[in-house]
Amino acid sequence: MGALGRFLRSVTLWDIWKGLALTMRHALRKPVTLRYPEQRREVAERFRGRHRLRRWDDGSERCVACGMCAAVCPAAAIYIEPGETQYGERFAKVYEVNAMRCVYCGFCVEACPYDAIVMTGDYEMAEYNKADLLWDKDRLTEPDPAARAQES
Amino acid sequence: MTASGVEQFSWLIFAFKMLLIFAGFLTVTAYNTLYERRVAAALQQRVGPNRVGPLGLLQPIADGVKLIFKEDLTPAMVDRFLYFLAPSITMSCTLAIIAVIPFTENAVIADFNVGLLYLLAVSSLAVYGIVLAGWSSNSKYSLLGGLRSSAQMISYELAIGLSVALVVMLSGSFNLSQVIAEQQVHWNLWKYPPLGLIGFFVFYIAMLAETNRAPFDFPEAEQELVAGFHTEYSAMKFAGFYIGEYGNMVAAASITAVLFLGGYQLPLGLQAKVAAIDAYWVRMLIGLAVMLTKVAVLIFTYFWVRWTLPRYRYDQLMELGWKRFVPIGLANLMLTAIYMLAWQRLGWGA
Repeated sequence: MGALGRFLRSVTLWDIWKGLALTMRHALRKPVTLRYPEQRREVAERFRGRHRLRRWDDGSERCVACGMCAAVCPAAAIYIEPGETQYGERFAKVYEVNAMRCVYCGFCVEACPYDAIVMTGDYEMAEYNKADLLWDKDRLTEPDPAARAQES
Repeated sequence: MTASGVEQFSWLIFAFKMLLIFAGFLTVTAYNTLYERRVAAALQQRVGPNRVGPLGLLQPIADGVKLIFKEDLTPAMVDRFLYFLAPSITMSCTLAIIAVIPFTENAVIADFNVGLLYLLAVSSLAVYGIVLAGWSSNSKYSLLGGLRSSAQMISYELAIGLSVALVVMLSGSFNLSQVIAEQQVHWNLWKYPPLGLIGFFVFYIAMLAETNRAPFDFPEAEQELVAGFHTEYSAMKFAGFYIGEYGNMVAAASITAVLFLGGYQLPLGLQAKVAAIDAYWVRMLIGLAVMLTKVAVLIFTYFWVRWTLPRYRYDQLMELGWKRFVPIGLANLMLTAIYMLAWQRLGWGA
């Protein structure tokens, strides 16, 4: 570009017009904002959110309190106390996930031999009380399908 | 009622007019903040404040309430008298400017013959608020902001003066109502093309500098000076600066509209039709709507420029003011004078 071209560019504010056109193009596009409480983003299939303890199809709990999850947990967020049923089957008497410690790495899910613990797409975990962030077994276990059938 | 009876109550009419214009102006100023936030959001593909009331229309009220209830801190080592005086100077200068602006037919508080000189005088006074705030705050950032502001104001006052001189030449009057009346057929923007247009651009950019808008927002300059002259201010004293700043923007846009865009008049010969309407109030309301539209469009361009361009470097600002705008303004003034003279001598109409 010659001296004349440079002069014309500076006098006509060419570069500034270009910049203004760029921002105007963006102004005419749809906002990318998600209006959160009303609109929610679909989470990915493998999203690592709130934990959940699954049941077998017959309604019995999958967890056998082997302690693999607690052992692999890098944040030591899982606490398990094993127990035995009257038939001599192992189950988790206490199963606690400390949400204040959990780093949502998903190692517990990988470690579980019975696919008992999984992670869901739920990411709204705020509480008013610290105690409520210590999730006990009742909160973690998915509802018993049999119990649900009775309720309804 | 006799004529003298009306005269008796003229002060009342005057007071009413004043109240109406000031209240209207402050409302527009408050909503100017919301306007900026929405426009800024749109330019960045965001949504902007839309929670308080429909479309966020109550946001300025919420902001005002918040500012009133904020703790009003006064730093320990400030010069108290000047520290308290500064925001009120900024605010009152802004309000003083609008006294001479005709927003629509007869809607002007003081319609006097040297209105344009008054505008120049008062808009330069406004810098005292910023300089005193910077000085009295006893903070290095504030002081730098204040100093920059004064230097900037001095440099751009010249460009503004030259553009105003152009307008005075084109309309042959210092009276703002007269300036508007002269633009009934052709706005000053389109007179002697492209001379009017150049004058408009110089004035517009100088006004950006005068109102401390980006890309000339040196007194504030968040990244360099934290918040410049109002770093040490909080609560309602801060709000005083804020009102002053956003009010200045409205005032600057109004002045630009009056000087170059025909004020409250419609373009393209439509004004003749409006003038033919008998009903005074209808004429007045149309005028007000036209004026507000022009102001809104001009303010939109202020926002647009702000959210597009980065801040100038300080020496670039000075170079632009002294080495570009002053020569361009002078040459423009001279050419217009020659043009006008030739026009008259050769008797080319008008």
